[in-house]
Amino acid sequence: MHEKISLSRRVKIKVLNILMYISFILILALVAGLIGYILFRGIPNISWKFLSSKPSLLNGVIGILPNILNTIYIVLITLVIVLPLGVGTAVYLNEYATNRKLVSVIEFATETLAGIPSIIYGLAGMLIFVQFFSIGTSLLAGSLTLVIMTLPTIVRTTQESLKTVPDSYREGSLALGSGKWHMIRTVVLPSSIDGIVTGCILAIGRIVGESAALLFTAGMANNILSLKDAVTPGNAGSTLTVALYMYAKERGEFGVAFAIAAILLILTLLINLSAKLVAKKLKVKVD
Amino acid sequence: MANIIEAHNLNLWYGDHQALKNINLDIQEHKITALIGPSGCGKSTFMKTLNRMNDLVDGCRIEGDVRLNGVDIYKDMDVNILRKKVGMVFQKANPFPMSIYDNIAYGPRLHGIHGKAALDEIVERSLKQAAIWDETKDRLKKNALGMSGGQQQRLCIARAIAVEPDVLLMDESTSALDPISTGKIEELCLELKKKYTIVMVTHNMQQANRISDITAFFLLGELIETGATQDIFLNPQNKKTEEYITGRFG
Amino acid sequence: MANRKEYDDELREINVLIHEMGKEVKKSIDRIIHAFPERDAKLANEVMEHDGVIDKMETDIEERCINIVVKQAPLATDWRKIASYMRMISDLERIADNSSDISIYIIKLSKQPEVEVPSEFHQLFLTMREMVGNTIESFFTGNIDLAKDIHAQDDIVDKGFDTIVEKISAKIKENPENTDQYINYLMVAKYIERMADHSENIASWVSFIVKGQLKMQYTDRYKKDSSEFQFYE
Repeated sequence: MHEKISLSRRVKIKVLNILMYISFILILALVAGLIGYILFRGIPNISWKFLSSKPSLLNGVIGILPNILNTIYIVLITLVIVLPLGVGTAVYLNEYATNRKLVSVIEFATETLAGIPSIIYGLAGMLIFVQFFSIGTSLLAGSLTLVIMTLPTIVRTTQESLKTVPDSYREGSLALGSGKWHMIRTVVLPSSIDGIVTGCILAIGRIVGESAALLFTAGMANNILSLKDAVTPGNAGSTLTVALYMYAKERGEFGVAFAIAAILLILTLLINLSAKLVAKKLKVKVD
Repeated sequence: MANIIEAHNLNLWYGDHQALKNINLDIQEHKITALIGPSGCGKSTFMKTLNRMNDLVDGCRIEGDVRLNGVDIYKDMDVNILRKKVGMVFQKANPFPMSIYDNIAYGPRLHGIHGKAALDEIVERSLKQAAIWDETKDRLKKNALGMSGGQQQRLCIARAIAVEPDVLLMDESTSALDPISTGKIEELCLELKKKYTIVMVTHNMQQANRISDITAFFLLGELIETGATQDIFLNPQNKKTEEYITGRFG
Repeated sequence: MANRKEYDDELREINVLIHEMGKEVKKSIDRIIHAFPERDAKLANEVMEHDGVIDKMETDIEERCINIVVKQAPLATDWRKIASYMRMISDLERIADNSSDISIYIIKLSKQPEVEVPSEFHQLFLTMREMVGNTIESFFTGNIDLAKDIHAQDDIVDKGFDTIVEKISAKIKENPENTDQYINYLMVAKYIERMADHSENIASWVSFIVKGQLKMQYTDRYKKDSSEFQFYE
């Protein structure tokens, strides 16, 4: 069944194809160019000393160890708080809530929160945690702010994941005499673990990449802190992203800035890759 | 034969809609009772009151009583204990996304059995009773979802009987299966009724005729007629029963 | 579920065919009743030749019934009807065969010297014909009282047969040279009695269709309104 396509249509199809290819190449070029440039300028500045020492004006040393540690601390503390909170909220919304109206209000609020620019979180965090609760500029305040920021993500991805669990599993469990929480714990959550973990990893990505919010709440200090220090109010610390800003804007050390940028880029790539891999692996196990 | 379940003046509403109207039906022990009737007649609804799965539906309201071994299942019994005693196999097989072993062990673990030896014994016993032991004994740790539809359904039956219920409810459990799998499950039911009591909802007249002892015909929420299966299918007393069975409506 | 309309059409068709078969059987009976007193060999021959037609009808109806069982898996009244049809046409065919058998003896008798015939034969034939007529009618109307009457009529036929046996037995002792003829007449009487029995069988299947009970129970009053059941639609 080969109908003859008119000449004008064939021309249109050809033109659209060409446009598609052009935009594809453009995007590819942009991304490659950007990444390439950052790596090109950043990697030469990375050394073991660079990664493992603390900066000292006295000795003229520039090191990003404190920043690396602070980033790790912030990720850990935020996750420890936001995961139970987020997953719990999602479980409540999906499995327990019966008031449809309440659920849609909460869902709307969640979506709205997700769209708010991060610098506003920074401001809010500063006012609420740093000042009102008197935690002071600290990693703790930064974590708490990030909790509020990543909560919508966790709630949403967990909810989506819970929704993919077929009701037949729930019915099967209840019909055997299982209580509701037992059913959720033994059947629903394990089935949705892949979605939850994916959401978690994406949240990590967001935390690592966050700068504006942390600027206001976690500060710009470069001391090496212990984990205990990190959870104590009053201990400020800059993460990699904030450090990047500092070195670039305030100290003019562009080489260092690009080095941090390169590290962050690689880190982000690794996080996204692992998110995909973990999801795939868990899904296969479950199926 | 003793009655293991007795429904007395049972009425049920989903919101404003009355789905069951004054049902009086006894289920006899160690017999297979078939519930037949056109779509929407209330047979599945009635069966789901027997293990209170109707509680899961918003706005479901009951009047009248249902007794298991004389105990009112709505007022005097814990719902989880009820569901241990009255098991259910669904229309579409729904094994959990776990190993075969874990699927069977799920019920016993839920009710407090944790020792490996005890669980091993229960798993083997249940799979044997469900006539699926030979097909699964070498793959107990494999995921249950890898089995065929017919095998999965037999697995679900094994899972249900692992907790040693008194009654087994089967909601059109073979309607999604091929004739051979259906045949195996029917054979299984005949064997199982020696130990358990079975209530089954079916659209398949031949199946009801083949394996059930007692048949109850539902229409528009009412119980129209009930009696020995052979009598119902050969010589029904009620005209509506006759019309349904011979395909003149529904 | 199967196509109900096709099903009903087929059931109706079978009904019509059984009706036709009944008519043919009655025709055969009429013919032998006519042929008997005159020992009309020609008429008797026609009966025998016609038997093939009736046999074919039985085979045809039986095939259709089997088809329905295989295709439609009938239940309740449908099943009772089909099961009964298959048994009934067998009995009808036997009645026709018996007519042929009687014809054979009429032909034999036509070649032998005439003898005096017990008068009971006439009534026997008429009663038997009435029975066949009634049983076929009760099949179509579901009138179970007619079926009940057949039981009483069969008793009459049995009594008549016993009387004929006695009389023929006496006649053989009186005129042993006519033994051949008398034996032939005995055979005819026996076949009439058989035909009456087959009619009674048919009546019991009618009862099965209507009441759903396998055993004949004419002592029970038919409880349902027979207008609910229309066999000839």
